[in-house]
Amino acid sequence: MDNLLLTAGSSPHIKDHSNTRRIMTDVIIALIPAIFLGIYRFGWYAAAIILVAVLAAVGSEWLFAVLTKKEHTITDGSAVVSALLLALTLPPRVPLWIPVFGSVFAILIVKCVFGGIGNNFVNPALAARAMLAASWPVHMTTFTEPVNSLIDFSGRADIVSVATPLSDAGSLTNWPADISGFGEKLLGNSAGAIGEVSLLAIAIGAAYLIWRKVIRLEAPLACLLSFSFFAWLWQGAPDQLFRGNVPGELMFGGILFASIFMVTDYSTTPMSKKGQIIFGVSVGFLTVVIRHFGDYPEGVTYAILLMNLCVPLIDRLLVPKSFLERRAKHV
Amino acid sequence: MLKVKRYLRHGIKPPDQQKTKELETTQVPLPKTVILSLQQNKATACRAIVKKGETVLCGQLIAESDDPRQAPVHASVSGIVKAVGQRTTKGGQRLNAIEIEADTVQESVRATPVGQDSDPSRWLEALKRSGSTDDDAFCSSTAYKLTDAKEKNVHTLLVDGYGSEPFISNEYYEIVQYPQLILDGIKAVLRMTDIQSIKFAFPKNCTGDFSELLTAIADESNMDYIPLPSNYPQGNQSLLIYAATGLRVSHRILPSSNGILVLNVSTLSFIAKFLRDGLPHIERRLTVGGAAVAGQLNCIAPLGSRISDVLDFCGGLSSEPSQIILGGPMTGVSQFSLENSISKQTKALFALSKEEAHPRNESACIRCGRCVNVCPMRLIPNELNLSILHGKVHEDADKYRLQDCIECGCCSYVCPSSRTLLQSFRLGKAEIEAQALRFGKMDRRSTEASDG
Repeated sequence: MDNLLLTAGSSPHIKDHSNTRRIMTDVIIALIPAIFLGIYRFGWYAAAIILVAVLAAVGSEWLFAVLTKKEHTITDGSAVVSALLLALTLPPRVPLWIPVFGSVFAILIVKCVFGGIGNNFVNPALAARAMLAASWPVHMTTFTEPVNSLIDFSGRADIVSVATPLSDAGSLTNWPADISGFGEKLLGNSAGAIGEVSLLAIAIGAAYLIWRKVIRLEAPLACLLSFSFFAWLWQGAPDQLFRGNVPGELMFGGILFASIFMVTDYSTTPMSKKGQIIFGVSVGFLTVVIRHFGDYPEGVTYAILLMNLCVPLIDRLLVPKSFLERRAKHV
Repeated sequence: MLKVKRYLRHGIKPPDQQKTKELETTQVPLPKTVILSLQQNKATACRAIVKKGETVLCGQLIAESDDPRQAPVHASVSGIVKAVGQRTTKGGQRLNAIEIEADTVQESVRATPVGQDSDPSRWLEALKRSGSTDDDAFCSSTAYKLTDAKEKNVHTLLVDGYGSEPFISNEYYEIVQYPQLILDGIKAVLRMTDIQSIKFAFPKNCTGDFSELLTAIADESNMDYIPLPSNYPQGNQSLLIYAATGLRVSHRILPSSNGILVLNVSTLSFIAKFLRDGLPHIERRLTVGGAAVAGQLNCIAPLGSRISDVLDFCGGLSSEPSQIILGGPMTGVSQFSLENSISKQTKALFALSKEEAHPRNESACIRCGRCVNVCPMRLIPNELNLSILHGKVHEDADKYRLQDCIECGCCSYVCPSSRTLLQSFRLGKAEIEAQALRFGKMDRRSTEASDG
């Protein structure tokens, strides 16, 4: 016992087993059902999109570390998560340079330049998606019907292109009278972005994240409830007040995927529970506004980006009262 | 039983909370030498009233202070005073201490018990000379706390049977072994103060083991017990008071001005024992734990025993420890030498293995908000951390209520990026204190100048 090398440090001397990599791994695990169904629905070409997005993101992270002579943070898995989130919101037949360009933009410009993990002020995947949609609107809005075959590796020319149901308001009005599409939609048998088509896959991912305590229910729930309310309130014309097609609006487009995986993003959402609820409600509201009053079919991307910018404000306004500052309710 | 709605909903639930509970309490044998620190808290240190070379008896008064908050020091062994001088303490400071070499005879001073039914003012005087300290955050003298409570007409006694950390089982053993002494202690305190109600806080999962004391409490009309869930840091003074009374009292002050006196169960049983036997405070109940200790146990060790003495008694170290801690793993002070000794405020001794306390690299904050969710004081640890690291502590400390931090360590415990949050808060508090001192000096200088 004489030659002990003892560590002396500040308490606490023990820690739980959580770490950043474990959290990111959990998010990746939660995305696996969506990835799997996306690949099944849209063929191996979808897998190629996801793969190049991930490779480009990890490569950019490494490149930035080399250029700035800093220690790289590839192993924490955050670049992979950003790339997966980007790839899963892309249409299934975009040319392969689109995910590459998006990933590089997301990691280099949005994340690394602003200080790396935890310091990005907007969601990297959504910022990249917005950039791509603004630069190549045709590629970014050409959705295809599922091929439902793993072996299909055809280019987009062979596939029947359809507009996203969101830009085709007519398809929504039959809902929910025409309930036949529900089961199909649950398993993602419809046109849409790679990871956003299957509600079941998203729900499984959400359940896993909540069970692992990676995300909390408040923000997604606030977002979905507020979205449902405003979608019900405003269907598109003043004479259609309170007659909105809520299930239809919820099931198409990226609102469900975004409310689980992007409204709960750590860096770009408020810290406090109250702040998260404000964030979620605002995203729901803005999505409806953009869907009905804007030219873009997919409102949720811009709604979240807009709210990301408000996060420092929300956090500053909602510094909670400390335990001692609060007044006792009953003494 | 009091139904409590105000228990701690935040905080953490560390694993293996009751590991040491099945084990018996044992007595650590007399060490060869003891080092008794003359300062247990921030109040004026004690003066040694013995000299080098003098022979002292076990239980003899060897140092006392003019400050009533500082309890006097007694020899915990009989023998020869080897040195009176500075020794390194657990926190790394050099403080005055008395070193005594134990002899083989071990003669004690003749104790004169005050008696359980004696006049309250008489036994309070006696208690002042007993060296008793309470297990609170200040390690203040028990007699001082009682005097203070009497002066401020305290009406509620909160008995802390909960314990500061879930890893430390001192309170558990005290209650299981000495329920009657604790009750006697409560009654003695009742006789000398104006206390009307007694609230006894303890962990909910121990209800079965404490049945003897609980039935006794249930029989008394003015006593109530409060079972609390085993969340850490529920045992913190502020949170205990909040659970028992709904009052929010700062952890930085004694709650007597709010009419509350908090006493640990071991302090109460000491009072009863002292009235019966008259023996001063010369030994200390310790929880010895951690995966690197060969035999984890609960023991009673003479004050001033060195860490190595206690570890030897426990069978030594089973593996190379990463850290040796005086106190619990959440709040204790890690040691750099096994020569440091057990003092009155030492509640536990932990030797943590490399698996339990392996050093981790700090990485960037990912703003996951876990620290915010666990903070029992409802602070925003991550923002506070960045503010301190950016050198903005003086502007932001008030906004983020840095002074309200109770240093429980929950934020650092849960942080997935292993950020040393609490360490930075200590730094921030120290900086603010230093600035206050500087300004204080400047004020004094300016007034002196105007006087001249």
